[in-house]
Amino acid sequence: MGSLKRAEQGAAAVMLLLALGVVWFTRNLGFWAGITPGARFVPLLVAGAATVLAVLLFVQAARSDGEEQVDWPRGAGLARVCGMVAAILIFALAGGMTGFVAASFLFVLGTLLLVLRRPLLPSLLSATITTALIWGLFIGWLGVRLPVGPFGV
Amino acid sequence: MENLTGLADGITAVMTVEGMLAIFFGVLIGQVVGALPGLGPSAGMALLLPVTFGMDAQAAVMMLAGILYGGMYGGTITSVLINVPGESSSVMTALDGHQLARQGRAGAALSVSAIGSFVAGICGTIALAIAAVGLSSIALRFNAPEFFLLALIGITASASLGSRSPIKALLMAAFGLMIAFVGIDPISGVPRLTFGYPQLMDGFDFLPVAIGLFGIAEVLVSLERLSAERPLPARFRDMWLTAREWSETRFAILRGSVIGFVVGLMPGAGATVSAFLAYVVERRFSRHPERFGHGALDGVAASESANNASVTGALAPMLALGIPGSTGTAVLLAALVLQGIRPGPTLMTDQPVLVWGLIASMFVGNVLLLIMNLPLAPVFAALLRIPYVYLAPSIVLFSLVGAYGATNSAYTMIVAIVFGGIGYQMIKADLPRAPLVLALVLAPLMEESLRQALLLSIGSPMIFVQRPFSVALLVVLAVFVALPFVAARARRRAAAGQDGRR
Repeated sequence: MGSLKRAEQGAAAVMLLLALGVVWFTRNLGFWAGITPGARFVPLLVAGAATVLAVLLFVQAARSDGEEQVDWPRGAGLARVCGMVAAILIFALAGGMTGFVAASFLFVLGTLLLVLRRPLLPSLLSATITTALIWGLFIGWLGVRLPVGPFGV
Repeated sequence: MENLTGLADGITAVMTVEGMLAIFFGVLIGQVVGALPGLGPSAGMALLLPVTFGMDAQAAVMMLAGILYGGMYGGTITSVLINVPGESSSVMTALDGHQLARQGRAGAALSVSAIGSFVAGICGTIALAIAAVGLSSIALRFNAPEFFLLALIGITASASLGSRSPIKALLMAAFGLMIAFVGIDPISGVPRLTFGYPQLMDGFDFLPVAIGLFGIAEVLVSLERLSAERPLPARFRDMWLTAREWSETRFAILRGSVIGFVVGLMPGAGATVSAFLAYVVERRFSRHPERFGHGALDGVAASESANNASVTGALAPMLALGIPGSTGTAVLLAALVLQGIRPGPTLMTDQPVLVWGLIASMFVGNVLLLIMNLPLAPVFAALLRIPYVYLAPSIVLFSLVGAYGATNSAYTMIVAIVFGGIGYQMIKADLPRAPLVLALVLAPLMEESLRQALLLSIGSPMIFVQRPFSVALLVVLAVFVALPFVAARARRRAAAGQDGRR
């Protein structure tokens, strides 16, 4: 487990970097254009506010007793989360090649069997129903052109 | 007279096959997602946004609104039968409702929740019709300065009223605003923070951000621990209140409805605050306050009535002013914008059939939900026996395919995945996501209004104190900004007083 204090300070640091990034990457835009605010006006105001808030959060976290912990997953829980993330990335990378319908079936079946360790029969049923719903809703009803695989599905 | 004509047209729009189907599927999906812990009506609405592209605007809005208030009914079932709140606003219901279920009174808890939600929904819808007309007529006199302040109030109120840490909430709102700046500047037309990528020229769309933050992120969190609670039984014959139970709860339902609607009107307060406040107030009025926390039927009635009424309350500023006060209304506003409709003061005059159709649909939707939750509650209770683990991959898949289908581009799907990761980290670090989403939705209104106001005043900020409505809104803004500090100071004094007495 990690300390919530560290997590909050980390979040404050990230937000501070983002605010500085907004200030830096809008430096070529105009702050004021004639009689009206330019494209940089509001981003600069918001970046300023974010900087102040990030510092306040950092100080607030530093003053806390640091006893509260972040409930990071461990053991089987961590494996499930990492497995699901891996499955999502594989779907995103390979879905275009295999076709979304086939990829959907394999995604649900794969995550249930390999990540969530479910029995085969209910996993097959769940994968079939989900794929049918995806096909019916997006392709059948909405006419969305999802990527098709080598067999035209 | 015009409003009565509008209401008649709205009822006509509802009484079509497409309209009735949209309401039915909306409340059914809302009931189911409300019952699923970790998903929630906001996530359900975000996941179904891509589906609404192929629908008529009227049907789309009725369906999405149905999910929003249907989710409040659905959250009750898991709260009472499993002691797991399906929605954050059902936490108080779980506290006493599950105790009642353990005492063999699950049916009484479920039926008082259904009846209370129905009464609150109907009364809230009537109040919504009155409030929306009133707010809209005032807002027709608003101009750029007032709209800027309204947008700012919407963002700050969500931080001060709806969050345990206002600093974190405001910081996440600033994050949402920074995300919204990516793209083409709306006034000058120059690219801003696009880093030369053509995909970023359109900025970050609301849909993949919402799908990632609320769909993918919550499923990842729910996979950390797979619970195996079996729901307590709820039988059809238990689903009726006795005369004594009705006399204990009828005023709790009325008080909860009023509190819920009024609190719901305030941006950022939401159903959770409404339910908690109604519960606390009811404990003071109850003839048996000692039962609270151990199975108080009036406590359940008050909190459930309040969370339903708050949904209708939150719709009033969204429809009349274009200011969403919660994540759910933010998704609804995004759906209207995606359909080419901009909510605001002119919505009631420009699109009367849409607005009155939505209001009329809520009457129908609440009747359908009463039928689903009284005699059919044991059927939904049986659905809880399906292990959530079989639904989790399907929810993620719908998120990914829905995000892809929105623009027929893998880019949107990738954005959803990235924000899924960000949302997961935010949940673990206890950073609220609702302010981010609200800020993302309100950013265009806020920026355009501010720049237009300063254009009108030739750069002078005095325009914000020269107009009476602006001054009034500035006072409201100051109250929302000061509220957390005043509350924190009062808490410190109370703690110091208690230490002194020891």
